[in-house]
Amino acid sequence: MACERLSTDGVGVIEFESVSKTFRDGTTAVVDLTLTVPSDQITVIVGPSGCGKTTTLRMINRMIEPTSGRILWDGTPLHSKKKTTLRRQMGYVIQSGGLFPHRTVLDNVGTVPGLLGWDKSKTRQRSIELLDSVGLDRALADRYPAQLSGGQQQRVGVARALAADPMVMLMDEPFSAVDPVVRAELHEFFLGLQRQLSKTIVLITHDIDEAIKLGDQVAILRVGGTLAQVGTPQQLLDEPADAFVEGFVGRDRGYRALSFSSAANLPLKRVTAVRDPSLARPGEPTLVVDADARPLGWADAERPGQVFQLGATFDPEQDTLRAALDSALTSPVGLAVAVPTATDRYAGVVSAADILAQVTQSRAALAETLSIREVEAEQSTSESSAEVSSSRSAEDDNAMRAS
Amino acid sequence: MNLLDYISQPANWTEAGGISDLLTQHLYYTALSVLVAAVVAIPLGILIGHTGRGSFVVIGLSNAARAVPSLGLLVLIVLLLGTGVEPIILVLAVLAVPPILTATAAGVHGADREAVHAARAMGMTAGQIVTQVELPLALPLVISGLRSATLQVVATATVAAFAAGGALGQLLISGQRNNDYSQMFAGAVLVALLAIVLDILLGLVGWLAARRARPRSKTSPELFPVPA
Repeated sequence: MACERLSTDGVGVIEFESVSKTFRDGTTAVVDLTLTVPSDQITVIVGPSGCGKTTTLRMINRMIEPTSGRILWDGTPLHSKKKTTLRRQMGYVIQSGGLFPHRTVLDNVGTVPGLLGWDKSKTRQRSIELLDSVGLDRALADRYPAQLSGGQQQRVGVARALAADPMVMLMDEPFSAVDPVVRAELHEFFLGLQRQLSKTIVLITHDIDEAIKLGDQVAILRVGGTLAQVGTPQQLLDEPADAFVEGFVGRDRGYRALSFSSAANLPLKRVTAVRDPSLARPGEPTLVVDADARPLGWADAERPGQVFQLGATFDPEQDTLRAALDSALTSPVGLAVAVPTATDRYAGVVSAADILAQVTQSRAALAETLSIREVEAEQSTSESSAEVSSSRSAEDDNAMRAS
Repeated sequence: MNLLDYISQPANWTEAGGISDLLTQHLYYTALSVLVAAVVAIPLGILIGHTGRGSFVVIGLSNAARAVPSLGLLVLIVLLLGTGVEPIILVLAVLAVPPILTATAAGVHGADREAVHAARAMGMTAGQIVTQVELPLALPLVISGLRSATLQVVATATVAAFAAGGALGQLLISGQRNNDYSQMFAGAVLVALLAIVLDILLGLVGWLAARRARPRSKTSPELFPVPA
């Protein structure tokens, strides 16, 4: 359904045509999968363990051969290409990096160019460029993988996959083996890199949040290896095809859907801002700022002169409603502080109630779009239930933080 | 009588067929038979480790090797082939194959599976996977296999004297024949010393190879530390 709207032109389109895979021991991994991976976009295949997502990925570079059906790359069946040639044309990143422990970072990155017979100085130059583009210090070039942190290893893994400038990148849970902070960092890095490079990327994960954050198109597989739904992240959250998808995208999908609305249109209000916390007037929330108007914290009405932690702030130009709402919920005075990254200065505040009002507005706009698309009453019920779950999850969130 | 009488006489070292010659001969037999064994066992070990098939060969061989009576085998082969260098090398090589084979197969099979998987996914051929990934990673284990093979061969090469082959075993046989215990003592001590020296040397090589294959963790930043 979503495929028609996403571009299938250009180079690097991969099509699964009724692909099934049954292993020799009788395990069925994938059943009758028909899926188009559009070029220059990130397609995330997501599902619980045993849904056949790894098998699906490995069939693309013929590490595993389908039992029936066929896979086309720009219209050419994969089985007409030589395995090693095919694999050298596709970047491959795995969970733990899979770096060669006996080779330096630079030699690891230069693996595929080496296999393709590039000359040494060209390979070296390309490898050094890649270290720059994945944000690694050149000083790390002569280190060994064991000397790097998990996040750095994963960046080397990505650089290695990009070395011969492949059109297609296959990524097998590439960000699962690092801690949440590093993972978030790698997500940003990865999306930034993709904006520059525009590769056809197939990424698998078991983490629906990661899928929604990274995917242009998300395919959800269910246990037993059948495709449950494919579409843009927003489609999956707004219109889950069935109970499985609904359950998989999670109870707080309404809250998560806020990630798709920009915080740019929020009505910002002013509060009293002071430099010296002891000047704060009691009875109204007072923001403490430094000489450059950077917010430092909230003045504590009970204990004059003391400052509460600021909590998370949000950037109205780049962040989403989700970040803004989270910021309001974590704020000690219930107000989210807007701080544009460009200036680092306090730009205004917004309350959780104002954010929810904005949500209601965009819901109404969405309902209009849906009716234009001639969607039946069925969707409007699911929409209202989404709204309920949205506000409930916000309460849950609040209760959780309070406890 | 002093046990050091024989070994401390310079003439006993330098004369033709003296200690120096026997020692050289002993080293020669050892080196040649380990080499022959390696030529057979390393490729076979790579094949078994890479494919994951035929590990029963490894287990069977290493068990059988413990039961082989080296002196009996030597007598058998000498009876079949006559005396000379070849039967001696053959017997010693048979002893050296199992440790090298076992270690190579284990090392190749145990090479970082993620790295091997990545190598295959990036389009390396089977040969490239072996030479560029599995073998370099298995090297420390292969060297430890060569080390135990060498130790076993050094100790067993004394049987060469029973096939008129000389080497340090000659001191034992001649000493026994002449009731010269200091000569027998010289033979025994020299074999033991030779074994210890070779073990230390190969241990050092193995340590260096391990540093290459599994480079230092983040806690030791200096590159290629040289052993003192």
